[in-house]
Amino acid sequence: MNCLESKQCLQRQLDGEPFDGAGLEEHLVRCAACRALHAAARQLKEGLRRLPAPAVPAGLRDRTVALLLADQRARRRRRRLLAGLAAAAALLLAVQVGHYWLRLVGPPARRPAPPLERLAGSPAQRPAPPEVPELVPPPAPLLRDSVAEAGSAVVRLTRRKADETVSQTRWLWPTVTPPPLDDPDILSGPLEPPARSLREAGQNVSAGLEPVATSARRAVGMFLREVPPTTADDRPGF
Amino acid sequence: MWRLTLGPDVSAEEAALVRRCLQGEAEAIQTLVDRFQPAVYGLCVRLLHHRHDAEDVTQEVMLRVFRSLRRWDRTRPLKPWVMGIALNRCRTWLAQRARQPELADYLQDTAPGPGGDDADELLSEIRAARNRLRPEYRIVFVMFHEQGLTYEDIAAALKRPVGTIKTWLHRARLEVLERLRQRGLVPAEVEPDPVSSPGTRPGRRVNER
Repeated sequence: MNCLESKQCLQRQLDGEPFDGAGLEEHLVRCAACRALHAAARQLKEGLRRLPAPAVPAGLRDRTVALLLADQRARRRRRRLLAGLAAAAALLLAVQVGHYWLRLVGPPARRPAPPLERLAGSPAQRPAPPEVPELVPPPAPLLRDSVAEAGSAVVRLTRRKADETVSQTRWLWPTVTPPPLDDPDILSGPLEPPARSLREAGQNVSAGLEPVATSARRAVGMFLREVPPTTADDRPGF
Repeated sequence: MWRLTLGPDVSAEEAALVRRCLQGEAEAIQTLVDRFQPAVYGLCVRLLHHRHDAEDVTQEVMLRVFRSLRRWDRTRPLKPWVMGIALNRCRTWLAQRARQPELADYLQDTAPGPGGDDADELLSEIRAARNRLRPEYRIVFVMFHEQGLTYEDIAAALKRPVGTIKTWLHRARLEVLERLRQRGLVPAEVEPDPVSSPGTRPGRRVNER
């Protein structure tokens, strides 16, 4: 056995493993260095055997257990909090998606009224009438409808006054009706002065048209009162 | 849910303990602390040489172990995994402490007695020799000889091959033995005393300083 094999035996001895010691004693007799090394190894084994393990301080065990339990509780609270936040976020997201979807598809279609024959069925099948009648608010007047009504009113008033004017004008008709041409007195008699005739005719026409103008002014006044004040938002629908 | 797949070295009792801890049983948590905290504290004291630091690091290690139980590889034994976490925390702590001013109250595990008998002197020299080792040698020496871990456990904790661990430990031993010899705890000349038959002859401790 040489020094290298002697050291291998020493390491195996310190490892606590079995080793083949044949020839070791002879080598230790001859080699002082290996002999001292093996003696030191024995010392080391003895010292390690007696080396006390560090004593755990009193209370360290209880403090550690309390620390672990507190950490566990804190982690559970944190997990619950995160779960709550996640649920709230999911709910908010669902509401947002639902709102967006409703805006995309529009309001739900009104259910059609059941047919009369179904309503006229057996009393058991007949749906109960609603206890509270549905209050439908009157639709807001549209500007277009108001203008049409005002226009029709103007037309009616104008037409009526025009008819009255025509009838009054007809009363004047006999005064200006020319005499028959075959009457020889016409040609032989003196003619009225043309200026007088024209003046009278103008006065008659003016008197006949005055109600028409008055009616037209009233109609335009009504129209202006009916027309609501327009805003910029109303223009596209006009 | 939590699936249990046991490796060849993992006892069912260990796996059950972890499962109960994950379910939040206080009794299981106490058992976990009782089982591993002494070893963790011992490693911390031996590597940090400071009791208060060792207490803080021990609590931090146990907290990390507890929080990381779900990540434990169920095909491997639990103790090397716990000791690996402790080792990493000790390394981090040592690195942080190296950047700070050195404290004056570094501990000695057991102060030598007034007269200092041979046994106490031997233990003090072993501690001193161990503390003079380079870090990786000291870690391996402590974990093997003082924590009772196997080569495989140390390799798993350090994430190093078993061969590397053996090499480090053998060199650490030779350095410690050389220091013991230099400090006079081993006679320069001793009678041949084959270690193959330790029972035939009691080991002689010669203190000739």
